Amino acid sequence: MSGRTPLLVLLALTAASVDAPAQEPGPGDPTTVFASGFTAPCRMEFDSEGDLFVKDGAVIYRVAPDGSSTVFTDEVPDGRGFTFDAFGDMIVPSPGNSTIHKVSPAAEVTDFISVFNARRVRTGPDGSLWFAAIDSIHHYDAMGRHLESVDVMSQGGAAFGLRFSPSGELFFSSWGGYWKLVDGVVVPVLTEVLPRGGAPTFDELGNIYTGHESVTEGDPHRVILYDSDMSVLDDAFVTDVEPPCGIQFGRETDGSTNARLFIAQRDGTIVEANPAGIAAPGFPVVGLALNEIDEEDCADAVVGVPASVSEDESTFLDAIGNNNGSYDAGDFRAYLVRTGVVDGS
Amino acid sequence: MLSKQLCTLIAIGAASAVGVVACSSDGNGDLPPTGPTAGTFAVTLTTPNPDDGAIVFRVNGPGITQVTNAVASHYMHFDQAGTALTVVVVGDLADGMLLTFRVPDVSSVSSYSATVLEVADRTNRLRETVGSYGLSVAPASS
Repeated sequence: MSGRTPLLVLLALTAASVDAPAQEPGPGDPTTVFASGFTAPCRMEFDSEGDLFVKDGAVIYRVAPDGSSTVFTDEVPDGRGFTFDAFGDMIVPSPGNSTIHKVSPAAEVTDFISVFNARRVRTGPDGSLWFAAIDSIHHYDAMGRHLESVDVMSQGGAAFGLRFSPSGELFFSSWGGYWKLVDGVVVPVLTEVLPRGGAPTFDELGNIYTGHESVTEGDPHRVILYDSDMSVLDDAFVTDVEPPCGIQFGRETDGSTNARLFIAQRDGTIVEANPAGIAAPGFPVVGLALNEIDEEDCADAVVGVPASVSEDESTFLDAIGNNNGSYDAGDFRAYLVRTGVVDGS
Repeated sequence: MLSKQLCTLIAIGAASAVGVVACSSDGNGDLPPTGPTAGTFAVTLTTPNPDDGAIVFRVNGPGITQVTNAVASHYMHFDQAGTALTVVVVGDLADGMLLTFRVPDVSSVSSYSATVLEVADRTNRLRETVGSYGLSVAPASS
């Protein structure tokens, strides 16, 4: 709670106290309980093995596919909206000490970089890291080197939530609006109708799913479905929900994103929407993963075979290598060491 | 005794069969064996640095086949386009043989050359210049 603005705390508390009116079922109804026993599991992410990680209070839990949960770590102070980076490590912002923590798959916690007031992190298509820090969005490369910062508040935005769309656009959100960041310029996408939810999530078609918490009589809790232009496709896509505070597509054990839509609720449960109503699998939240970059493609690229790696992959490989602006023999060596093919000791 | 045309076909089709086919100039008389002798060449590195970690180089020459990594602990990958063979070798590089390849005619060693394109050290930093590196192509000693 310490990091939220007083206004948001007030709105959140108000939301929880509003009785939502009955609604007609939507395509995502009925919901089923996936996991329970939490306090406010609003920040959740799937890892590349299909396990769900949930930040609840001071603890980050691992939730198995059967819904059972175990403590993953309780050693990240004031952790906020986390994600996984291209190496499979969990990246957790802690605004209390302006530190970004890295948590290994074995739950080893280390300090990564310092970013003032970061509340949410996303991994971009090139493996770089984007941090939402309310008044600013900060961009770092995959190794934690600062690339740029954009003052979004001076342009009318506020950055609490972050999400990349399938077209590579960075959406950011607050309780009161959604915006896009386009070449450093804040572009409003939804400000007339207050979203009253966390960051939206996307399916592969570009459709946008948002949780909507009610704060007024007659405005029920629900999940709203928009198309990629932010036009409402279904204002009551899911109605069988308690105040939703997080929304996330699931992932399979091989890391691929599936068409299971999970909704975190302020009553401490995580429910799943009716999968029959989901149009397409979710768009991956981790834009690039080291273990998904093909070794032969990397080798071909360094010996000059055209179009072997994408521009995003090339940028990432250079970042983990010698960071000189182009992909070369040193970057390929770094890749081989990182993937364990070559001994780098 | 084989006809001249048949002899030629055998020589092309079985380039690795060294000097076992006796041919005559007119298909009638006996002459010493002629034609190319296939064999193996090696590419050898000479480096001015003790901490090379990766190299990209290009070998030019006709009929290169059977490219083989010369050092088991090295990672090697290549692309072949026409007479150009572009190779990356990653590992703790030092003076010595990097790879071998088969050629259809060991007497044509002057037709083969190797050029260093990139070198990175073991911290992945790219060498700014590679002019002091040497690559030689020569028949591999058996």
